[in-house]
Amino acid sequence: MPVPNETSLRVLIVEDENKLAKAIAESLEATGWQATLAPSGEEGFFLATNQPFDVVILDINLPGRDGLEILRTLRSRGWQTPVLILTARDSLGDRVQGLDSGADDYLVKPFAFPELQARLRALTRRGRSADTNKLACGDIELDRLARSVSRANQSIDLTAKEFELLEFLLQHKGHIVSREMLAQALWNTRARVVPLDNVIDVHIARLRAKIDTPFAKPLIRTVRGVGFCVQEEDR
Amino acid sequence: MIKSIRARLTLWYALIMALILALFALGTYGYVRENLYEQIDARLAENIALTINAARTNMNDLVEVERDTRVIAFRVMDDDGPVYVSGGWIVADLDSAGVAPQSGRWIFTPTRGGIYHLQEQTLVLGKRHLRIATAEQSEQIHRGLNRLGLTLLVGFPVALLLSLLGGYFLAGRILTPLQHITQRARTISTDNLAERLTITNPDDELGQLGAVLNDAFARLDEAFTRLKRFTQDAAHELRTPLAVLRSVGEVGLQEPRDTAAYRDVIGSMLEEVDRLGRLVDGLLTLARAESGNLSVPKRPEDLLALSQEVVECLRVLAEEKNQRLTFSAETSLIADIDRDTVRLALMNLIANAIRFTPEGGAITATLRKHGANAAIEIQDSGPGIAPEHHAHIFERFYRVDPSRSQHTGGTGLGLAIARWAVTVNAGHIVLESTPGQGCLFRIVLPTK
Repeated sequence: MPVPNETSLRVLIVEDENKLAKAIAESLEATGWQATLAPSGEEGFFLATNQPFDVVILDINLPGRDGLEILRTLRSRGWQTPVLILTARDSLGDRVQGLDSGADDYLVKPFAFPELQARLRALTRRGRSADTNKLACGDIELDRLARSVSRANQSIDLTAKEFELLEFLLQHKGHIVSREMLAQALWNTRARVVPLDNVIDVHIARLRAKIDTPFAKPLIRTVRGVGFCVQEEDR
Repeated sequence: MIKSIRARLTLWYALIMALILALFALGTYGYVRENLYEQIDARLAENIALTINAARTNMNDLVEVERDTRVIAFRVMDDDGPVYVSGGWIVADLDSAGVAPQSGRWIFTPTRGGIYHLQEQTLVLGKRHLRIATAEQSEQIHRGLNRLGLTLLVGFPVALLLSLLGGYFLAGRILTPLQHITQRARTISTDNLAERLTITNPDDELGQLGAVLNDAFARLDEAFTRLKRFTQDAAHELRTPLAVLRSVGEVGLQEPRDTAAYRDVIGSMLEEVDRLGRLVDGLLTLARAESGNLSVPKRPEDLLALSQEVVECLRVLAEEKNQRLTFSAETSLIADIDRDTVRLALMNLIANAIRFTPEGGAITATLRKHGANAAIEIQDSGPGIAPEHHAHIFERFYRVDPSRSQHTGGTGLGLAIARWAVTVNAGHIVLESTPGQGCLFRIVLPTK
């Protein structure tokens, strides 16, 4: 089911691990992207300079030419397309080097698809500013200024964390939100070695008890092994 | 470059011996010569005094002087020429050689041969300026000196050779036990790391060397054992989620299912993948910490606020188990730390306490002064940990009860990571526990 405002966005995936490249392409195409694959640095460089893309996913360890070297060359020629580096190198030095070479974002393998998609959406977001004070999904409404939530015009009391949780889920309405994304956005925690998953699960359970259990149609869906998702209609 | 220590020691020894011998020989020769010369000088001076005395009273007395003293030759001159000359041939020789009188020690070798020491002095007698010179033969003395020099010159290489041999022998004696140690140490390999060197005298230098080596072997042995255990544990921990992944996948494909069932299978597999990912992340963090290239940026942080934040974050977990989680602080304390890593340590310790404390228990976190440092103590009402586990509890994958690893759901790395996180912040972590009384984990951090 293509999401309307993301149709015709073009992504170039420079990645030599074929299985991974195909999986990324497939997942993005499922949400309406147009994906082009480049299995080597040379090919990626050629495609990037000859075709317009909205965003590029770039691996660093590539056969032929190193991803960072390609990026630096492209940037030195005034090439502006946003780039997300996708790599297994995760030291602070690697991150800094990647961003210094002209990357706009940096994601470490293994990664969760919801996070990759959220980041790509953020990179390609072009000045879309709707009324962001109010978020809604189906019959649930969240007012960021008043910090109030209601469902079917029934006001619901939420704790601060529950409110933030619902707010984040609604911001990513229609997309899956992984536990890692939540840990990073709500608990400001990057490291996966922090035991936060149980905490997140408890908060989700409590939020559900307040906004889903009393109503007929559940809003928060658990996608097992991936994360959570709020959606207007059942798929 | 000479490779063998024995050869180098011998050479050094010989070099130093040569220097000492040379100094000794030169010193002896110089001292003997100076002594003999001084005796001559004294006699010459005495003779001059006699001559001057005679010249002053009566010139004829000079004949007596010539007869009575052992003076070989002397002459008295005034401005017009010689007044009295004894032993004329030396004088003639001196004159013909055109040798000007020398002050101080004056040695002359006439053409006839022989060696003479001379001395001259001026005497003013009325209007006459008399120059009085005496000479004495010193050939005998010089011959003796030459013989002494020759003896020393011949003796020098002989003594040097002897010292070289002695040095070689001594170096060998010193190095033999070292060779024994080398051979013994060489046979100790990964197969028999438990073996040690035998030390005969622990107080001498070699005994100390042996002790140091034994110490190193002990540490190596320990590290090796730990590594072996870690590798086995890691393989086991990684294999478990892999086995689950495999079996869930295989069972999922055994027969056709509906979409929901497939989603469930894939979801279950993804959960295991997550577990694997978490495990690898934890191992990587620790591996990096061990290789020592992980330093954290430190800033003054309020430990009260940080502890409170962590407690509040994890409170929901305690609530789910009906546990009482409380935090108290004597005072606000500022420590120079990296917030993220200390938070990581606290998170792991408190989550651990919640995990191992049964339903309805209590967990108390306390921030207090600990000498000049700050201490954060986490006390739980769980089953506690027996003393024999205390030394290992912070090791990776160490489980007090191996059968419980699957139920508790942790990665087995939490405490190892907590200890690392505290250590990089210049602190330390200790466990106090008696079985049945719960555990007390104390993080000690240096305050500002």
